[in-house]
Amino acid sequence: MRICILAALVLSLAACSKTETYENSKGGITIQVPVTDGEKYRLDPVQLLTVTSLKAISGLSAKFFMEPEVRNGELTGKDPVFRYVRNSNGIIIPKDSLSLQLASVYMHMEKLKALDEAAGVALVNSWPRKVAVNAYYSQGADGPLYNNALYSGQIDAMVFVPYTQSNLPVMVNAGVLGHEHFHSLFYKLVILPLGDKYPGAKTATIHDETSHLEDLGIKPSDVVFEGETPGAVNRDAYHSVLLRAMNEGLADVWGWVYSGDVDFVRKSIPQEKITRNIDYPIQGNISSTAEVKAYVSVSTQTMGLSYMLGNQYARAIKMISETISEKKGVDAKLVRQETALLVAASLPALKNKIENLKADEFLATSSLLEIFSEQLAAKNELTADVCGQIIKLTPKAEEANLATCQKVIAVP
Amino acid sequence: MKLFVAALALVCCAQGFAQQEDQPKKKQTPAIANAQSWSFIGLVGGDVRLDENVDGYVEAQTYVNVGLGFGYKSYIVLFERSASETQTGNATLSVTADYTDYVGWVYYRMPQWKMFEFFTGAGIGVYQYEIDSQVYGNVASDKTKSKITGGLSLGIRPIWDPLWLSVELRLRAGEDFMPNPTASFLGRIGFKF
Repeated sequence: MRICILAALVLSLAACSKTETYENSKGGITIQVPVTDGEKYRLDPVQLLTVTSLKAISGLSAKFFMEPEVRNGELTGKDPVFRYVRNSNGIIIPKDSLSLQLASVYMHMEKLKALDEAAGVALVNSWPRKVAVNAYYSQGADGPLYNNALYSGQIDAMVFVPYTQSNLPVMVNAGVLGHEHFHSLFYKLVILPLGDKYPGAKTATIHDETSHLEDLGIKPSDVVFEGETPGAVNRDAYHSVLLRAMNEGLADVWGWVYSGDVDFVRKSIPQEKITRNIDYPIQGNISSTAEVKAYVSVSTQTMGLSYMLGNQYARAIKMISETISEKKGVDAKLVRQETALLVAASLPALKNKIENLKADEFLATSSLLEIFSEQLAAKNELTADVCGQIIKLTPKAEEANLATCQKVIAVP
Repeated sequence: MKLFVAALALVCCAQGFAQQEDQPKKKQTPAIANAQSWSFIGLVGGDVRLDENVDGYVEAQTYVNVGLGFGYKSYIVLFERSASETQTGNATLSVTADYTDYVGWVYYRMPQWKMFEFFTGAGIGVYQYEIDSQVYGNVASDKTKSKITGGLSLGIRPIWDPLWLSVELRLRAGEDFMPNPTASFLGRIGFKF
């Protein structure tokens, strides 16, 4: 009988144990996650305002898909089981590394939403953002992809593949999260409105938004255009390389804007063959249209070229932003916020430029600098000093394309 | 799972009532032939708890269990400490979770069958987690408050006194347990004299 009383007591305890599945989004929750000041990471309590299910760490900012699959064009997967405890101050502490990474992604998605709002692109994305975790991503004969993240426009989701290295997991890397999130903006403001006008829209590539994910098992490859003849410049191939470079370069800028980190890729993927550090000043100018055409005419392996040109764009934009901030005497964080506004405003302008290209016309590599100049001019930030720098970054043969800066410099 | 807890509790209760009803018979044939008035018990073992991982799958997690106590007639009282440490992550980002609980258990020894003895029990105590989260060598150490835990148990052992060998199926409840309650299998070795 006494055992029975004890059993009843224990049962009551189990019944009364708090199983926390929902927390009111009004008050928010405080959770300890890795945060960065742009250089170092540390663990800090952060308030999340939009979590509606703590059990699945989901809410108005992000929804996770474990064991993700794409079925009928839709991302499917299980909810995660967020494992956590509360410390003596009531702060939520994740109980394992993957739970910590999920909390980190959620926090970044909430902050990236705020960045979208600040940059004037709040209505571009639908929320909560979909996030596929530990996805199986086939590279054909090379086996599954590890240690990376990508954005898929087709399923409108950020996809993380398993991270197996001993460095900073990609899901914690603020810069990588910012970078991948930018691809969703580029996809919706440039690629989607262009439709079939987007060069290479039907080609599967990795790490940019043109991926055609089939059950997360597609074979990513370099762009290869049918009917290409050595020596001739395929217009689609050229534009595919150029737009991927712009997409990757601006995404790196967004990663820096969001995290303050100029070398975020190396923190997670130190073996990345092409440098992604955006803190090195460009000696001379960015690659010219003629140089890119020449490369594309002799090679179909153009992924490296896109990333190299993309890095040039990112470094150029950072240099221009810093020149403006030095002139204005504003702090680094404010510079980054202003850069975000400029980059976001450049995307519809880029789309219009591509849309208005004539059938035989090539978009110049320097066109992104001209678009950036236009945005600066619209904000009365385009001074002769800034134009001087933009002209220095532009290949000599393309200086005539910088109509906005030519006007600024022409003014006595 | 909660149905299973209820079922186990019902078994425990039924056993308790059955024991009361059986009392007149017991005078003629003692249910526990070798029950001594007092005995001392010391046990060590491994408690394999079926925790739920982030993917929603059951993951076996071993807890080191040490118990000391005494037996009196058909009852055994044990004071237990269980502990485990799990480390997840890599060199740059890791989480180490230390769990410790202290639980008092009361067991009832059921009538023996051949050379085996069944026992059932319930326990209540406290547990605490200590979590060390680490990023780039910066460690944040956090402790939960001591929280109440309880459990139900059903076990079997061969009667080889003073050697104690036993296995138990347990259900443990606690606010932070995932799932709650959590099932576990406890194997123990020790002495009883």
